[in-house]
Amino acid sequence: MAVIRDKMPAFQLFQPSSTEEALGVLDRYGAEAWVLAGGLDSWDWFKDRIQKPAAVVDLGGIASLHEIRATSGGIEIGAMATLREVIRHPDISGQFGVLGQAASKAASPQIQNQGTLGGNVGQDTRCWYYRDGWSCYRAGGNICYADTPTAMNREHAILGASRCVAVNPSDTAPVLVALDAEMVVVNASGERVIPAQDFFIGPAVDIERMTALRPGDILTQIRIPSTWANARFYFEKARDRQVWDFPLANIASAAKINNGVIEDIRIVANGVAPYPVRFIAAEDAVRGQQVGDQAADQAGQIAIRGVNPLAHNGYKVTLLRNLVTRSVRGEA
Amino acid sequence: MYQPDHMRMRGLTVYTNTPPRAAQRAPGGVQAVAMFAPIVDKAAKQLGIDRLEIIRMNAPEGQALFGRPRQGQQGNVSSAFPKEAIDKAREDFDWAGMQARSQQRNGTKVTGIGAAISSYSAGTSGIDGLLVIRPDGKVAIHTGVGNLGTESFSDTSRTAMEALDTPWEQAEVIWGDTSKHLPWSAIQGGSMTTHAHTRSNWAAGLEAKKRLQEIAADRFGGSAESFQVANGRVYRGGQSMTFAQAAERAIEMGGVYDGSELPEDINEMTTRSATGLQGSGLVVAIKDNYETGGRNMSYVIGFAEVEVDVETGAVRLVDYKAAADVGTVLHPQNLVAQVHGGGVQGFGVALGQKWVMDPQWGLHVAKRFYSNRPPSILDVPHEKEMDFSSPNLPDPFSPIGSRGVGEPPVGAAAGAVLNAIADALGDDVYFNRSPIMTDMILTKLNNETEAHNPLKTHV
Repeated sequence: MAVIRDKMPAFQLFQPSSTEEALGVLDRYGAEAWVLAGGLDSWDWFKDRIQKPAAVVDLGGIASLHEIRATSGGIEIGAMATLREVIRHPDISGQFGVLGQAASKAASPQIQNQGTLGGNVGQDTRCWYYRDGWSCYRAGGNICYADTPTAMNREHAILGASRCVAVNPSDTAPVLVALDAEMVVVNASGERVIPAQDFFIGPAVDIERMTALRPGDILTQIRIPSTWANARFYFEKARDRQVWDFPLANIASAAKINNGVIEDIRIVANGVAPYPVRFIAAEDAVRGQQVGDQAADQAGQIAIRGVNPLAHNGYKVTLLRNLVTRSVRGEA
Repeated sequence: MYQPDHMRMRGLTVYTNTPPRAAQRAPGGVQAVAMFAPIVDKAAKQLGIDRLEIIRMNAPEGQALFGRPRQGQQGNVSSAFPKEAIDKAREDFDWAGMQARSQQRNGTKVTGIGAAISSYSAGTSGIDGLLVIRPDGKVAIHTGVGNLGTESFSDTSRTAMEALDTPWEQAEVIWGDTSKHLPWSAIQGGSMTTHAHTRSNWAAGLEAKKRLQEIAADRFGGSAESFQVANGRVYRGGQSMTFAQAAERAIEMGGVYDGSELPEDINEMTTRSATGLQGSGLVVAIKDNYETGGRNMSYVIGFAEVEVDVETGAVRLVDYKAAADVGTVLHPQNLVAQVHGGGVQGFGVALGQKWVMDPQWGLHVAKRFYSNRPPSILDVPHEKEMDFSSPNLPDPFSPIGSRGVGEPPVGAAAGAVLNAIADALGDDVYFNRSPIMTDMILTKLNNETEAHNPLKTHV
């Protein structure tokens, strides 16, 4: 029997104009509800008929979620701000240019116009077995199709695997972790603030989710403190084409340099693990050192300690090492 | 593509349900060029021969032999000017300058340059032309050619007006709907249209000219040859008839002039269409019986420049230029669009596109564009416009001299990019497969062994 993959299943569409209204719908439908931002993740699932929620809650009409504003402590970005708005906003480009840089590498110009920052950080993995509806751990099954000697796992994880070897594909996520950002999440019980690093969870925490968001939750704001404003930034995305592709690996770093000495630094990579990985040991090693090849090479070597490559992704070890090295060096 | 004096070749055909790719365009051709171009390039390096010169010295010329022998006789092509295309491109594209940039290092980036030749079918013949000079004076050129985006329904019809030495504005192209009485036309595939229809429309135009001369001779006396046809009139000195007048006369005369009597050798579809036009003016239906000279092939030689990042394995396409031998250039703008557009498809062949199947479960896994990686406009070199060159030498057996081109650009670009990457990496680094991607480059650069047998697994 042919698998029909060309028609979205029907769903109830809700387009609330306030967060409260949205939460009401989510509370009513529970696990049967799906939160829709720009749609770049959602439509793929629906068109392939793999996800069939009863209710879709479109956040596009909630004005408060689109705002980007400076606060006393830094910048607050509404989760529904598009990547284009993030790229263009003067406060972001003025102090945290690395975020706009990462957003400009996400996907394609068209997708940047439609995709949101909240969606980009909340997006699901692109492991092609999982995305195609195979019944793996992440989909509630009890097997991983990618972690076998013959599996096609060129794009999968070299770190942080725990039965699941899929990677987090977001380009903005590592930047937000590097900038010590905080995610504001609301649900029917109230609001909670989650540090970016804890927002992205790994399969060891919950193999079926990429982030701390549960049914009933809405990510409303992303807060960036002024801690790393105007630091020396580095971002690079390694991908096969010049556009559109998810990262094979990416790197984000923020460094405070004084007289050529690294006073403090954050180094975060994505596309190499099921969550953005912060290389704390590498950071510790180079803190206090002169910016230069020695510190850079050392950071790269430390970063790849403990990697666990699969059959077809060993190249990611070299790639990650070199990206970390470049991020400390501060140039390609 | 290659016609050396002596050659030894071994090829192995493998029947499989899981090939590494199919060809979106240039079936068979692009896969073959992607295999041959790096082999020839490697040979050049090992022999110490200029990598463009090895292509030139082995390129076909004139009515070169071609194809599988039938009854002991091998066929040939009608014409081949890749040598002239290469000679012109060598200057136009500054091949020496490109070579000087080979393996130039710029920080973590190294430049590579490469060239490759590709050929493919470029025409057919024996198609019918059908036109009507109407009492309103218009020359209605009927064609079964559709519009695949190249506007060839219009371009190839122009030859009829050229034969009549009459401005294009007086023509009306009738196309796109079989209820409009269209003639038997070429398949629009394999780049047949340009060659086939420039010939058939030229034949129709010349036949219309002959009939106009006969109508004028009938009216004014004297020989038909003593009349000229130009600018919508048939005339001799002060005696003249407009096309409109000639068309009315054709209807009165009937017979061979108004579609009542038709040639025996036209296709029955053309016969039906011409019959449907009977009595509507000077109706001309004629088969292209011109000499063919052999099979029609066109040639493209691609020149690529890439930059490889030795730390990340990333390949950036810096520049691409193409030289095309297509016989007479019919429509320069469309030709460049074909050659560069097809070139972009070749970039995909070299840099990203492939099928990926899970060998355990036998299922495709690269099912969406972001996994399949067709090249986008942002993958095309854009620091400067891609250059183009053509020797514009007519195929001597076709009255217009034009051949088609659609498929050769794909292989030429694919081969040139593959060779450019190998050039950047140096030390005889050829991958013997394509696409070449980051993981393959990093593995080679770091002298790591691939985790799998490249001939058994397409990752």
